[in-house]
Amino acid sequence: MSTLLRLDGLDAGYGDLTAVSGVSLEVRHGEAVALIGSNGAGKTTTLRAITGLLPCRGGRVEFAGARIDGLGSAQIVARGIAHVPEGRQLFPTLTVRDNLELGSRGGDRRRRDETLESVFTLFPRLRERQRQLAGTLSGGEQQMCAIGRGLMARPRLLLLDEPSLGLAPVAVKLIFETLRRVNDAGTTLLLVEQNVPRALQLSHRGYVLENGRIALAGTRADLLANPHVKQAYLGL
Amino acid sequence: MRWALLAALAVLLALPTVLSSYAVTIFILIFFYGFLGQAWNVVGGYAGQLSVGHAAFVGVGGYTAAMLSIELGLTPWLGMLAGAALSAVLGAVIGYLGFRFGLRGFYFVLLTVAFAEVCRIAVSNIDALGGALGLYITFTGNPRQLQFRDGRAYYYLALALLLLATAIAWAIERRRFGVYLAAIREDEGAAEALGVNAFAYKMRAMVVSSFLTGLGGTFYAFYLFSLQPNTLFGIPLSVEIVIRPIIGGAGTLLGPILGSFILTPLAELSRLYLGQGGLYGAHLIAYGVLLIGVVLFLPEGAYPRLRRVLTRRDQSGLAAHTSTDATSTDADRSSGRAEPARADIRPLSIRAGLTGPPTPATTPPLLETRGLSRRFGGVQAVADLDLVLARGEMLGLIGPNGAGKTTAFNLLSGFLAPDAGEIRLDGRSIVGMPPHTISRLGLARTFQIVRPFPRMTVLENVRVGALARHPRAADALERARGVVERVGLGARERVPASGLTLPERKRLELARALATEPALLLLDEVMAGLNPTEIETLIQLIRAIHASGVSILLIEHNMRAVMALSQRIVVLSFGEKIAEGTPAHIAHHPKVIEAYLGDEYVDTAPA
Amino acid sequence: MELSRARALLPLLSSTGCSVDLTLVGQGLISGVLFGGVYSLMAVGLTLIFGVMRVVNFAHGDMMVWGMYLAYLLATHAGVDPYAGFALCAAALFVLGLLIQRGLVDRIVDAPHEMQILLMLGVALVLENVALMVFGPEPTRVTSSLATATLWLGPVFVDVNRLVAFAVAVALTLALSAFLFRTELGRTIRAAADNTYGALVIGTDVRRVYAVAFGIGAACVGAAGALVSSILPFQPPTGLSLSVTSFNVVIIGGMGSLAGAFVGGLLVSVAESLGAVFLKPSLKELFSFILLIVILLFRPAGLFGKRAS
Repeated sequence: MSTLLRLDGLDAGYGDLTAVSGVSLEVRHGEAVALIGSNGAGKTTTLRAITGLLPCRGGRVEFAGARIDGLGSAQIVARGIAHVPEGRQLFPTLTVRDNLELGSRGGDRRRRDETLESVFTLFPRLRERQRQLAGTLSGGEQQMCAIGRGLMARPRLLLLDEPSLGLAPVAVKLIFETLRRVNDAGTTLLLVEQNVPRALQLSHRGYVLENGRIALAGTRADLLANPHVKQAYLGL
Repeated sequence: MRWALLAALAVLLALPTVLSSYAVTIFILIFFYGFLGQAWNVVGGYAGQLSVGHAAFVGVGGYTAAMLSIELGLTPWLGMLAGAALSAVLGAVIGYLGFRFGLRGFYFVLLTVAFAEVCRIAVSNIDALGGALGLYITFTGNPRQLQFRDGRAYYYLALALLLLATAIAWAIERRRFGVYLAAIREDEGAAEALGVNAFAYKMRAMVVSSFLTGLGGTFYAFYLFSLQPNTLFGIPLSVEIVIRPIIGGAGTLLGPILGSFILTPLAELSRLYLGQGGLYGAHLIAYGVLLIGVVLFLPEGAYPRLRRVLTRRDQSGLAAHTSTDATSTDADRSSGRAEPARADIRPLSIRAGLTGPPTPATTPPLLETRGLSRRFGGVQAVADLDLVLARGEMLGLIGPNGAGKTTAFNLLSGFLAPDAGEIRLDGRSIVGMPPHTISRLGLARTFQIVRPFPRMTVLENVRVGALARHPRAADALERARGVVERVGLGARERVPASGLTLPERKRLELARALATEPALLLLDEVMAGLNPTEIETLIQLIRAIHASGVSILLIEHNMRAVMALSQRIVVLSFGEKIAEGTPAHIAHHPKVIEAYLGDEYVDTAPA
Repeated sequence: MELSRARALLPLLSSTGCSVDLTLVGQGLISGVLFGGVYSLMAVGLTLIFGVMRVVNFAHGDMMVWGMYLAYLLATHAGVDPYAGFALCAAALFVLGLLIQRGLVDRIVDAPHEMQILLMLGVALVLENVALMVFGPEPTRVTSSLATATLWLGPVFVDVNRLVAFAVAVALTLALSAFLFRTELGRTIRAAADNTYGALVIGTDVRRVYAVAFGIGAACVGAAGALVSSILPFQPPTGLSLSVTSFNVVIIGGMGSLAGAFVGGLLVSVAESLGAVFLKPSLKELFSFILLIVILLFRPAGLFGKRAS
């Protein structure tokens, strides 16, 4: 399997603070990879650096063989990476449909409608509520909308930042089942999560981020068996 | 630095003997506008409340003194005080309305502008006050009527006013008043959590500022002999007042003075050379360009940049910091002493005579909530929470994200009002009390996302906390030093908070809260973002703090830390308490495992 | 001006036995509503800028004055009537807005509010005083062929130029509405106003959105200036009071609410107009400021608006 995304010694931070340092990881075509760690470990910072929302202060980011560190977020999205951010970040006074359509970023009208149709198939609840204002949806529905918005860009790589945050267990179950379907259909996933069991359940491989550095890496089985992971993240 | 200033002062005192009368006039204006700028600086710079309506105070002060002189023959020397008092009343009204109703930033600016305009229009329409044409003061040259034939007398009077305002600003800067204002300016919420009554201090700043500005009004009136509402109350004057401290450096002692020395000659010269040729308003274009330039490139103003350049030259090795001159001299002086006295940092509860772990049956719990509830829109963030924390206990509060833990903290510390329920601290209800009162009663908290005062050094940050129990700035600094040592930041004492690493910021947050000598400390995810070694160190520190008698309620995600530290644990999920007990009990509680890991993992939990 | 005309009619009206006060009130109401269209247009422009960028444009009134002066130049040098030339003024101000945004505002979008206020104050000072240098301090007015025409509706009269100003203002506001709600770019602008970070995340060129929004906001005010140029005399210092009026309207109508800005404009104009009927003309400004203070204290989010963060 070829590498779709590679991070090499990435450094990034906010103001005087360096939040991540020397982060290296790779995501191969078709994989689902988990990036796990506790609050403040640097997970969101890493995703933001990948999508150009935060400048890379060091190291490189390569996507499909080409360097993307230093590019603006608009360009990176255009190349096929979609970001489903922490906290959903929907447009509350716009309708669900508007939110979704905005995710496709223009382009062919017919193609957009086709993609919209497939998103509705994936999330029938959204079809029901397409004329509703996004701000009135429940937490789980908002997450579906955010993921749908990401999928509207027909990305090769979908980045998800804590999709389970603040959701009831039932909603989490549904979201992760859907993500499995999305991954099976061919979209590569990089998933950042605090809910480690769920994240590992979905992924083939994972990286553990601690205090801005990669502390562990391995396949799902490796990580599930690792005593440090078990104690710190699985509460066992 | 001191010597340079004294030399400058000597020069200024001697100058009138050599200057032409035109040059004297320019200096009068420099001093006068510098004075108005310094007066503004108290509320606009130190307190950080931008006002573009200060002309109202000039107008009220000037008109009052003028009317008292014209109608009652009262000497303006007294009328000045009456005018200033009236200005202070207006300032209090504006301050009260603005601060009580929570107007900040743009809204507060608009409030000040609106009040100034209301005064202007009202006065323009009151014939008894001269209406739109204004008042004229007959020239008598009688010093008792604040009139002098010799321009040099005005020079010294204006200089005296400038020195007065600067002295007051200096006094404020080095006392608790000034430190608290700086804290409010940096982060009002964080300041409140440290016992700072933000409303009271902003009001005081407003009253001082408006009083001084009112004095200036009288000077203006008796220097120019005429008062027009459009000039005296108008926005152009407010702009003149504001622009000097902004360019020179708001919130610094010398900023307004420097600003006036830069802008006043500029304005006068451009008026002189360009104004005659029909190029009106050229100096105002310069003002506009300078203002834009300063905002984009020198947001702190000219003076702080200048000082950094100058101090970098004679202080090698020390991190350049932007603290005020007063605090750096304090720190300088005390570092010269042989052995600083060991700060008595035992918490208030112990020093007040309450001894260690009590028998729960006989003493009321330190903290107790009953039926505590709070809703946001459609979400019940905290539902009917009953919590008890005994004196001397360390209680852990855990739960998945969004469970309501931080909301609970916000309710306990007064940052949020509950919809229902009781909260009792040491038997006394604290519902409805503002954060600063609760802090003074002995409940301190840290914030989940750390909120240091970025431009203050570590020591200065902690001092803000220490001032809660030790109102004298020098004492507070000593105590703060002790606390800083205790949390292990001694070596970083002089570093501005913005230069600290995340683990250091966490410790700073802890130190600051500790400096208020609380009976109960609320810790909100202090372990977040730390590596295992740092977590270990922090666990030890928290244990030591607990051992010294501080009761602790901690929110944590890091299971290891929670288990290691807590004597008891309460578990929240979706706003409700789902379990309570010892760490061992909680680790195997099925509901807890379900909440964190989902129902699939209930069976996999070790027995 | 219309007040003295109305007063001249008093003998006529009293002979008919109808209440003089009511007629004056009605007159004030109509004049107020018609002029309000312009206030609404100004406020809509300001709201767009604030809604998208959370920047308060202290230079709003001064940009409007430039719109007025441009209309004046067009009228005097090219013989273009302001009611026809408003589109050019709008276009010119659009460009000016773009430049100001790209060059200055862009750099302070994340800065504390006080810094933004000071920056825009600086811009206002520059705009006002350059106008002063170029055009001089004397009040100017543009003559329009419509200036003297009046229509009579029963006992009250309607200034045709005000009517046209109102009609054009309303048309422009509706056009802006259509742009925002029916075009792709408009939707993107609304999205950015709703959640700028979200817009960034999905790859929107937020800088471009900011520039367009500021440009449109400036264009609104440029058009408003042209429409008003033949109704009121103006001079560079007028900018300041126009800025304050815009803030009045926006705060009353609700920060960030376009409908609120529109209704607010009408309300404030009617209030001022009625104020002029019952009070000395110089006191009507007093009335709006007091109203502003009251609204600031009790509902800074205005009558419609969502609470601005």
